[in-house]
Amino acid sequence: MKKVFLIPVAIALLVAAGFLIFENEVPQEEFSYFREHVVDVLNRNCTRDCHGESAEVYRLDQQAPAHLGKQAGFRYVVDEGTGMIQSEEQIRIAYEESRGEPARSPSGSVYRRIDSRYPARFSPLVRNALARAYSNAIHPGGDVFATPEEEDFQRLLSWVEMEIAAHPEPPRPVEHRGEIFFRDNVMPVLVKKNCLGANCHGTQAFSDLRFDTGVNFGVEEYGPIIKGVSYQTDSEDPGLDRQSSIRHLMNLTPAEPTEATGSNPVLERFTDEMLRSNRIRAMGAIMGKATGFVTLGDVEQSKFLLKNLPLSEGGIFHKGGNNFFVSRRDPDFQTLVDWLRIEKKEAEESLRSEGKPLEKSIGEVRGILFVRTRPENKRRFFDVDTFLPGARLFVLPVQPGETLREARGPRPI
Amino acid sequence: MNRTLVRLTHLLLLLPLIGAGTYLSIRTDQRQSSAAQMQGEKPSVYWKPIVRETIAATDEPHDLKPAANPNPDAPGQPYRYHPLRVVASSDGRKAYVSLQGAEIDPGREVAVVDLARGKLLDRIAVGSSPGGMALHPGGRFLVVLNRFSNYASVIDTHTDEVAYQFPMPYYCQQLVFNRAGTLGYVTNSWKNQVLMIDVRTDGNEFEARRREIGGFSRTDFLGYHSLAEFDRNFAKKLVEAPPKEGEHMARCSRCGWAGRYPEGESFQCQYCGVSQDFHGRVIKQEIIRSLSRQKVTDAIKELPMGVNYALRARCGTAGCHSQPVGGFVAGPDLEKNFRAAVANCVPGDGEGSHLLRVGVPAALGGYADSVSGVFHPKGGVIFKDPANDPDYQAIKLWIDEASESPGISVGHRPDALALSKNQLFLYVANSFGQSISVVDIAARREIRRIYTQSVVTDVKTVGPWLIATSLGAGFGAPKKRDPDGRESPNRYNPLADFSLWRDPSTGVPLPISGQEALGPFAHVDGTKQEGFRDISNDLIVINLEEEAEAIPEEGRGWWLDVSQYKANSVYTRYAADTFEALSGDEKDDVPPELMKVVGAHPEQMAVWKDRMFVVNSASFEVAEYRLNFDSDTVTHEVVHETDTFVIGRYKQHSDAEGPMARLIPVASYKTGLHPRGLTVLPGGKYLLTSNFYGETLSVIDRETKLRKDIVVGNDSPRFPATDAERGELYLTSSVLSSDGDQSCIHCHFRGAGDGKAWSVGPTKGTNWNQTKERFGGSQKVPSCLRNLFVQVPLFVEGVMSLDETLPMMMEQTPLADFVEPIPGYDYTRVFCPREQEKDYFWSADSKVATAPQEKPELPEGVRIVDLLHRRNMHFKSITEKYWGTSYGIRDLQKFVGDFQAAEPRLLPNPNAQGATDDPEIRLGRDLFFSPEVGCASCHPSPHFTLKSGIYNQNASLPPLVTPNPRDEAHTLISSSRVDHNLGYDRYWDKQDKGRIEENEGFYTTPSLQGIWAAPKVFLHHGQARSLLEVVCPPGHPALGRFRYPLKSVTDPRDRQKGHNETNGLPDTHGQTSHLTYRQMKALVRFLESIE
Repeated sequence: MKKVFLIPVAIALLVAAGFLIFENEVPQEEFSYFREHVVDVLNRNCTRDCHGESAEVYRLDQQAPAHLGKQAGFRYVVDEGTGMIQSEEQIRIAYEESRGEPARSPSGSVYRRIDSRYPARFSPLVRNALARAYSNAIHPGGDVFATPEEEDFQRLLSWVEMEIAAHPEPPRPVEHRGEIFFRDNVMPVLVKKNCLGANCHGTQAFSDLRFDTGVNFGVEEYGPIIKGVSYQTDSEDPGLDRQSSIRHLMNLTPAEPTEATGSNPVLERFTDEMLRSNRIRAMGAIMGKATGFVTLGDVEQSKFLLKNLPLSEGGIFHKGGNNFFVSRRDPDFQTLVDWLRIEKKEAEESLRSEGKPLEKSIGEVRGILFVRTRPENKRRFFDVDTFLPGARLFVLPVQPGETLREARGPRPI
Repeated sequence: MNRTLVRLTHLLLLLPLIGAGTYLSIRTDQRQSSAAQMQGEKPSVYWKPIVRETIAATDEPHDLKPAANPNPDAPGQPYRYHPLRVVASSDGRKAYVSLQGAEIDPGREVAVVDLARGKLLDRIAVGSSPGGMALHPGGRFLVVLNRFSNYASVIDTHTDEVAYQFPMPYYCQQLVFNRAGTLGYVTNSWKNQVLMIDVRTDGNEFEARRREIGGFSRTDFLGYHSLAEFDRNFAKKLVEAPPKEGEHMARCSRCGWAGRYPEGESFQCQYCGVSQDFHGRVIKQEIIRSLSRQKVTDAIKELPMGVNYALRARCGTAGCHSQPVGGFVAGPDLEKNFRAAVANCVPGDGEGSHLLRVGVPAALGGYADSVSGVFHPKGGVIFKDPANDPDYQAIKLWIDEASESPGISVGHRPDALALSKNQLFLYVANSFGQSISVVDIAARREIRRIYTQSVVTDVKTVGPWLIATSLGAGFGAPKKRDPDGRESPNRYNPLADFSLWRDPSTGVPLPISGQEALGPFAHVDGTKQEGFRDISNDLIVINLEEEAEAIPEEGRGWWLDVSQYKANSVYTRYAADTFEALSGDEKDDVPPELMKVVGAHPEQMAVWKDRMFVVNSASFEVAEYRLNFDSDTVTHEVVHETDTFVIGRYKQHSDAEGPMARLIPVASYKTGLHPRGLTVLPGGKYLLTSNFYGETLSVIDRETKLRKDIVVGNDSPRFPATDAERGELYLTSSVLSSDGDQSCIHCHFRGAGDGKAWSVGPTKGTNWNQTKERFGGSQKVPSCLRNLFVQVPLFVEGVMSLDETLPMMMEQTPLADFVEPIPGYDYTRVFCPREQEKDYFWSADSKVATAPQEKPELPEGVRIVDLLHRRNMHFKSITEKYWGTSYGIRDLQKFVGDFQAAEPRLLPNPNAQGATDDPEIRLGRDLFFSPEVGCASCHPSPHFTLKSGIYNQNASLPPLVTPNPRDEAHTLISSSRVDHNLGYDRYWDKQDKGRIEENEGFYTTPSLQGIWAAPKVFLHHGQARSLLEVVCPPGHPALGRFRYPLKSVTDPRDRQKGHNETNGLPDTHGQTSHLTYRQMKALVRFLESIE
């Protein structure tokens, strides 16, 4: 009787143990595909002189401090004799490393090797390996896969799709008004004006302002970019042609300002994270970057705008040319102005100074701060982000209604 | 008990597995099905090596789908069969007429006509859009080339049924047979080649097969004739020298190299040096014997051989191209290697091929170590001393000996062709290529070209003579350079040319103080006429024996230049009989004896004994000439039939002698509307013409000059029945022009361009006192007439609507011509009635296209309105004759607009249809739509033009490439704006206020639809002569040699030149400088695949 009683208990325990064991085990399906197909892909394309390393070096890498960027580094153990992933343990490590748990970089951004929030083409493991013509990504090792049709790339892509399907995550919603406006209206204008050109402000451009230019493969063609149009020209009726259908076809029929819906096919190339990142880059110093493209005091004085206007219209020199907007009346220019105004309003509502909101005070000149550093403090010009010990501060306050000249007082004799 | 315990133990052991399996299966079910399908399966897409597309016709007959009409409101048009070519049966009793139909609704039939009874017998169903036809020398079988089908149809003329069809690429144009009928030669305008077909017939059966020519030698690449031969040899070798006892063969898991190694030891790859332990992966000897073909192929590296061996040795190093990298692979898979190598070569140009240049030092012409940003990543210099490097030389030889397959490459858009008398050479008319190709049949190569500087529409050989029908050699530019006169930048030089800028609000020209001296011409053309007056109709007679001996000009490949109106021992070039006939024409440029071509827009020739007939599509007539080749030897005798005589509409000069008298016009015969095909019946008494718009076959009796028109298409309602058809007839006919010899299609040849960059109206300037028009030698390309509906506003400045052709219409009938009699008509006694004066004064046709201060020297009592009235009367009288109703210039303006909006007339694109899976095109597409490249910003789909979201009325953008010095010499104002300013409202569109060029120097974005079929004259100034020149910045490695050096007065060049720059700043017309050779080629292939 006792034995009979023990059997269901034993069964229950074993089943529970089975659940526990397999919950912590690697997923068999994805892992078996990885073992069968992806290990060879890594061996053939990624291992030698790049991502494969000896067990000892790997161990040291794991112990390295976070600020050395080991989290973003893609490393796995290989057989020292063959230089290949061969043993079961090496395969397991390669699998875990390829999946890559989300890691936070020293700058605070989260790095994922497989980003389960978006289609597989956006995962860095996939994107970085593909030729830049398709991926617009930076990969120090160059173009590993010349085309998405390459068999090895297809295997890698298939595995990442399996991993994403197995561990889906919802993307972080875009809620900030500035982000929404940037995504729906500003990004289309940037694409339309070719700001994201490879040699302009593309991913690898030689410029302080570099945008993430999205992913090219696996997306549809796109038509005229009119997402950013909030206004119709107020010039005279163009008097096009007698066929009203032409006007309609060419979107020349005057239209009411439209609210963006986010369905622009241009945006299929970007994830929300990319767009967030691009917004931050466009904002420059305002968002903590070392560059300053936006002046929230008087947004129309922002470099982001002035560099694209002709000099005769008050623009400032732009190496890429000053003809992107013929005048301030250009509706696309107004789109950018509108965005900066939204950003300013958002900042005024959310930022605090001494516990008080900054409403209507952003951009107000309160005075001029002079910083005098010690001569031995070697720093670059305008490198004032960090306060260095020994520096001295001088403040020239400006009272409300007072000009700088008045605040400065009479020139010393 | 024991048994029970055992069972329980088994159950206990199995339960965890069952539980785990259940758990996993549940979890698996929750996943997306796509992921589940992937498990254990191969990826759905495999690596497809990028290869140059071959056009090996499949056995599966297929027709191209017509392009859709973007105009949702297009009114319906009557179906027209559009008879194109005509061929008579061998007994002359029947005629066969190909019914081509329209682009949007292609024909599919050949009409059979009983000539004796003058009756349509039948229409035989063939392929899509039948065009060229040729009767086999046996006399029974008629081969019909179907433009939109990948097969040709063969009609048995005994039964009048399609007896056979055989695969041919799309867009085959014309066909000739050798005398024995065993070989046929077919021009193909898609691949720009001449294809050869082998014919076998016993008189009752007909069989034809296209012969594969050219390509890259697989034998030289492999070292064997075929993969199968290699397989056999390899297998044989394996049998002969099997691995020894105790030895294993293995394949390196890293680089794929196969090798032997002693049993019990680890495998050290001899190729990449990696040691590996193959637990269970050893390929045993028994297995080798049963290896599949693929496995055998994998082991090819065992046999060093051919070009492949050199490439593997130099490029296929592990970590480099042993795997596909950068679009090239030299790994273990032989087929992939071959395709990858071919994809990186220019056939016939080893030295200029990317495959070799990428490994050659910059100092020796390559870019392996270039510091310009284009170099050989990682690889660096491969061939340090190419001249003495056997591998380099072997690869170079392999490429040099290659040619484009599957036919013989010739010039751009080959059409007509003719065999030499000895059947050793072919002469091929290159319509857009401005030339005639000479093909050596035995060598199966084009060996030289004859430069015509004009479209060639037909060629015929008569003994040792070649006759070509052509259009004028000029393109509207000045005859020669004039640096001290019109080209002077000094505004105080009284000869200098000036701009013609206008007040943007009123359109009124600024005074001379507000204008600028224009400086250098962009181009000169060698003729004295400028602008539209350069339009001509030419015949060229070439002595082939002399041609073969002619000294080559500078440059590679060009031979004889027949672009001048001359007569010498080698050639004679005749111009239109009206070339200098009008009062406004420049005189004394062409010898009068050479102005004797009758009719406009010659299309086809036919020869009967010493007579040659030329059908002229724009003037609806056949001209007859006497062949007078003996004149060369009768140098001092006046050879003529009468002292003065009238053929057609104009007086001929007949006092020619020597080479000038090789052709003598003797008669002209009227035909139906727009004849395109011509043949002469046996006996020479009757001529047949197929009338494209008349929908008829004209049978012309040469003796009586009587004509009978037999309806073979649809003449109910009779053409032109709609306003669109009336506009179409206007565009394609010359009868309304003041000299009767000019039409729109002279420049807009075949609905596109003529391969030249014309200097016409919009480039116009003025002289110092603003009394003369100056064309000045800048360039504007004749815009393609196709798909205009999606490109409004038209023109490079974006000022025109669809029906604003008034300025162009007035160019063909300038007012100044009506001061004196025009050929065929005399209006000098016509004066404008007082009550009609206001109709002319407030109309744009009195204001546009005239110099601001121009005051023509008018005879006493003649006013401008009289000239306007005369011109309108001319239009009305001619239209009454051909259109069936009397129409004025305004009516015709509307009709042209209706025609342009009615149908897109885009040619279906074989590069797109059926090639959507081509990886190279897909790569090009991804690049095109990449924000980093930026093409789609200004050329977005679906029409690949940008007319919305540009906030000026012209939809124009700042220049993206360096303009010519004289671009924008003229503020363009639309005729509708002039009308509007004058208070005139067009009756069909009263609300149109017209446009004026808002921003000087801005240009609109042309549509890329149909660009694959356009002449290679690109950008607003026509300076780019290939799509690579359009997309590449200067110095890009994708820029190769022209097959024939570009003939250009301004910028002759041997190599292609990147125009993607503005005033030295690269990448202004798309960001492309970072693209590789392969990516740039892919981008161009995508452009060519746009439907």
